[in-house]
Amino acid sequence: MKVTLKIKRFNPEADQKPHWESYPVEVEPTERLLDALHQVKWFQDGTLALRRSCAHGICGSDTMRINGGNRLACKVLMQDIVKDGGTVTVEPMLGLKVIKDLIVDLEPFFAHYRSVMPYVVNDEALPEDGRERLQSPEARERFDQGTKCILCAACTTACPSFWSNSTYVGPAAIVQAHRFIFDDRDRATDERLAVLNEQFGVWRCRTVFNCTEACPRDIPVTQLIGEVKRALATGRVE
Amino acid sequence: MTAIGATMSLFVEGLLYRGREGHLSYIGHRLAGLGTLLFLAIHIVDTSSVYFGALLGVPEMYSHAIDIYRSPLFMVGEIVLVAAVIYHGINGLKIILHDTFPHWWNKGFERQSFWKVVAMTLLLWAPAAYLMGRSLYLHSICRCPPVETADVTASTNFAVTAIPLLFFAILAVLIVGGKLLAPAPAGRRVAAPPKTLDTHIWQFMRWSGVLLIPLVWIHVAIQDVLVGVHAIDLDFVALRWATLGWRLYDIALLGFAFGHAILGLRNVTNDYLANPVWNRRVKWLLIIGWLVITAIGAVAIVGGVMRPE
Amino acid sequence: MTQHHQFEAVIVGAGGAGLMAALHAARSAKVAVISKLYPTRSHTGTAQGGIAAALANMEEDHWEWHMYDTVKGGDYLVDQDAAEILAREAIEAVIELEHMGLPFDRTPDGRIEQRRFGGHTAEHGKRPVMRACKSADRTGHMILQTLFQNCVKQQVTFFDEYFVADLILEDNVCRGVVAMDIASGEMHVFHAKAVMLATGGFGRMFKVTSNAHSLTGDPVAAAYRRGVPLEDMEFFQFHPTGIYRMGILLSEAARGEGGVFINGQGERFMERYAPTMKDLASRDVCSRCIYLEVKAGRGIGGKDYVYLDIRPETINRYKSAPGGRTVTAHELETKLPDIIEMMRIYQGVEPMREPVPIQPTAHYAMGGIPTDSSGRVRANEGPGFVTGLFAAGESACVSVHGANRLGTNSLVDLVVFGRRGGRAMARFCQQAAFAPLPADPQAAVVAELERIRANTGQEKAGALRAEMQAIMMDNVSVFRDAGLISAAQAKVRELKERFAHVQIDDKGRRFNTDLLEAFELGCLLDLADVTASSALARTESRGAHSREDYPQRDDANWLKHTFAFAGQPSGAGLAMGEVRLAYRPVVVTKFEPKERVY
Repeated sequence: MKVTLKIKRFNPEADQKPHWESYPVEVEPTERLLDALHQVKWFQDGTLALRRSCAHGICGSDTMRINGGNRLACKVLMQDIVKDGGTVTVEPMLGLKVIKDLIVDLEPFFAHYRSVMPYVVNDEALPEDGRERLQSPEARERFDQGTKCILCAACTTACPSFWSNSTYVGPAAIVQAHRFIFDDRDRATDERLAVLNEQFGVWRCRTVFNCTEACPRDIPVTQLIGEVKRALATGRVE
Repeated sequence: MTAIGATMSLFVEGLLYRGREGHLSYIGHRLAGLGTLLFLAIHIVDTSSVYFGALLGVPEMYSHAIDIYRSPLFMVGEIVLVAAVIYHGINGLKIILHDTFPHWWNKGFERQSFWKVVAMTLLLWAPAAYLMGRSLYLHSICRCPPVETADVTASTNFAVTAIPLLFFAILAVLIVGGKLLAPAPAGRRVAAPPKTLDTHIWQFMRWSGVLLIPLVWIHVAIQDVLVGVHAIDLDFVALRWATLGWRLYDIALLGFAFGHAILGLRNVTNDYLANPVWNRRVKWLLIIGWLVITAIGAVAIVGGVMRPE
Repeated sequence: MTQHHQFEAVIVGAGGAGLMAALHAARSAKVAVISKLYPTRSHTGTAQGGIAAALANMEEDHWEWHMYDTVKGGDYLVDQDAAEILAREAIEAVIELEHMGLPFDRTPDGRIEQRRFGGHTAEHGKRPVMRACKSADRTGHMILQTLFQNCVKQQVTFFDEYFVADLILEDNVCRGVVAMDIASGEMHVFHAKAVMLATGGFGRMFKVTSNAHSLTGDPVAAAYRRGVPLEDMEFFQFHPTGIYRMGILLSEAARGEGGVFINGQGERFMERYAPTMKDLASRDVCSRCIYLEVKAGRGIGGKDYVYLDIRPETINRYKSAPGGRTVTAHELETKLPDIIEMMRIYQGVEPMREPVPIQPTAHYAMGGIPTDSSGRVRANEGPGFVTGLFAAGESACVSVHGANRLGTNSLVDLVVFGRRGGRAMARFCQQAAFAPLPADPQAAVVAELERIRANTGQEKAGALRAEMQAIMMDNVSVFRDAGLISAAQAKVRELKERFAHVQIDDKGRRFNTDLLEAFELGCLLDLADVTASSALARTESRGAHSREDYPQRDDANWLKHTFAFAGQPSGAGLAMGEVRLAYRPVVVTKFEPKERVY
């Protein structure tokens, strides 16, 4: 099928402002948008800058606004977003500074990630037999959703609270915190909850569900944030 | 200047973000909330003129105000206001339910519940809009006001019984629509950190929200829909406030509704005013505005209707 | 402007091996991790099925059995002293990961749950064994996340999105690396006592591959260009279950849970080739069988693919689930959520009702930078080492995978040898001093980058890459012969000539991925040349290296590792000339080579 990619370009080395450029491409309906972008980059205009790596939705590099909403370019097939002869718009994520074209500065995103202590803390003695700590399948299942997160930033940059104020810790960091708060091997629940109880913590969430809709890993992000709020309000992790 | 420009363009891009029902429901909730707040502030001040009018030597102040409300433009606005109040209430209830039972909610359910909220809003709003529209037609277009005066007691009884019932019916629909039987996961106690101001505010927004639905809806149903602005005058207010119960009711309304509104505005301020200095200044302004307007309203309710001797 | 940094240990690559090494080295040394991606983007994250360790949580198991499977899986080209370390230390490495917080799936009594996997057997090949520790079908993701989390906890220093283009290696002493900050285009020189290369594979030399776009082997090529040999490069694993045409990997876990291969005649053909292990035979075997079926006209509709069938009714009909149990769709969905989602998204197939078209996909480089079991890089086929240079993970060749890697052993390799390498680096840093830097260590790289940037030739990097990938896929993949390989070798050398005339569009400094992709292509071309040259010389069939003109394994002449050295640069740029080959004997301890039957 023949389609047009309308891409928002911005190279701060050369441009004053972002501008749109259109590229005609011919693709198979079952190809990924990433394949179409590669066609542009490899055979039409090598100056197009984007991040990508694994190309099948695991590494989380190629989050961008596709037809206005956050998706991974490697996880959408052309046939699902455009008809023959149609146009696909591609823009960088919203709320983070654009470095070049579709590439944004992720440092603030990772700073929020680091702020929630994203690691298991447990200084208790290890099992004497030198083996694993025990955990029931139910306890393991309790935090399963959060472990799927690939830190692609699709949720955080879909969040109106984050757009308007990027000091908000954001959905991704809360999902990460949830993963540890609800892991019964962890012993730093209260410290982590204290971080999220601050002014720029979970209370900035307005239950918009953009995060849940944007998540390429189908994590029920808003639900996990809700569970953290509940834990804060009731003192029960359940 | 560029900072403001950037914020504005980010704001516009955000509005254009292709979210789904959740995004629409959020934008709707904000707009309805802000609209209601605007009306509420004006309404408190003008109603207070039943007391302050005479005090200031302008006894006709209240009837002037009511005259403005009776203009067709304001009556149309009032119809929209009722829609906003209903939507903000039901959608707020949805948010509260989500916060209480987050594990019921998945993507699909959120999409559905937005349409449920819209449907319920329309269902409740339709009869109200009909009655108010009829009144608008009779008073402003054919100019043939009905001869019978509104029976205040009957209207009151109707609203006071029907609305709580409606409230629980909506709650039931939302809950049953959620997976009522979804088991809450087993829990463990943790040392939750001490509550911050934000925790308290967040909780106040939820509790006051639940309380406000019957409070505001009964108030709106009686005053705006069943009685109508054309039947409201100084005598009507005096008649209502003759009952202590209604004065307490209005005090509760003033405290919770305006408190809820100001704290909602605080959220909006926090969202859009990143500059800490300006953020603090605006929040002080909010506190002052809240204190002043609440004081005006409270004094009027306590003082009651003052008529020139 | 060039910026200078000094760290005791510099680790290039932030995947499983690099992060594991960083965690261990950072306990005593000042460490920096440099990666051209954000660490969590590393390809370790895409590993699905599991990490093998003889924990015996499900049934009887022993590390000797694991070692035997590894040696046999590698078609006896495995250095058995290293395989012993791999199998023994897998157990403590998995436990260490659990203690770091890795969310393994659990048995009802709270232990780590395990599943079956291709080539893993009990009692030296008697029956499949449940040895793969797992976290649903995203075990690699969990390992990568857990290791990164612990690096955050330990406050390891990262240089994210820095492209390492050269090693500073003189007089057989490694003194650091030269890198470019991709965001600004600025050059950085990292002065170090010890450097570890843990940069993963280079599957992007093939057309159909499960490898990430970023897996172009740049620092491996850099080492090669600086005189470091590359070992066993002819052995490249083709995973049998890649999504048709896209190459996206569908884990062996799908067959571990009972999935089977079906040919165009509706036959479960693996029963014919591997009567004991059937669909769970090792990967090279399965890939070859698929090729043979396709060649015999038994592909689906006569085309070049077969089906992977994980429909519950198929699994139950063949009783192919573990223990011959009956499975349900729901059970499969919870055990293989990501794989099933990929089938749905990329193939548009509903795997609970339809079989999925698959074909072999270039997956894993058994070969790489030769090291000993402490990660020290060998300087030659003899006993010598390069001082201060270490390697681990897929970019290294210990060699524990020999001629064919077993499923789940890559993750074992990462954590076991990442850990050993990290510790060895820390020890090395304690006794070594900083070797002085040469003048202008960045000069060669800057010259090459500027040459590409300013080039006005008529070639496009994208087109050249496509030609290389096509010829390597057609001629040097599952089945090879002298004619095919020679043609590929000639083509690759022609492409190297043409590479000198590549012009790029983007002349800027900031995030110039156009420039980097061209540079990466140069690296891939060198590695493709080494792969083809090593393959041409090995006149036998062993593991993943299947010569149609030499179909038998030849232990008398070829029980030895290939060491490839770079010849002098041939033309413009950094591209190296004729490959020189040497050989090193395989270490055999416990298991004498036998015929390999599954």
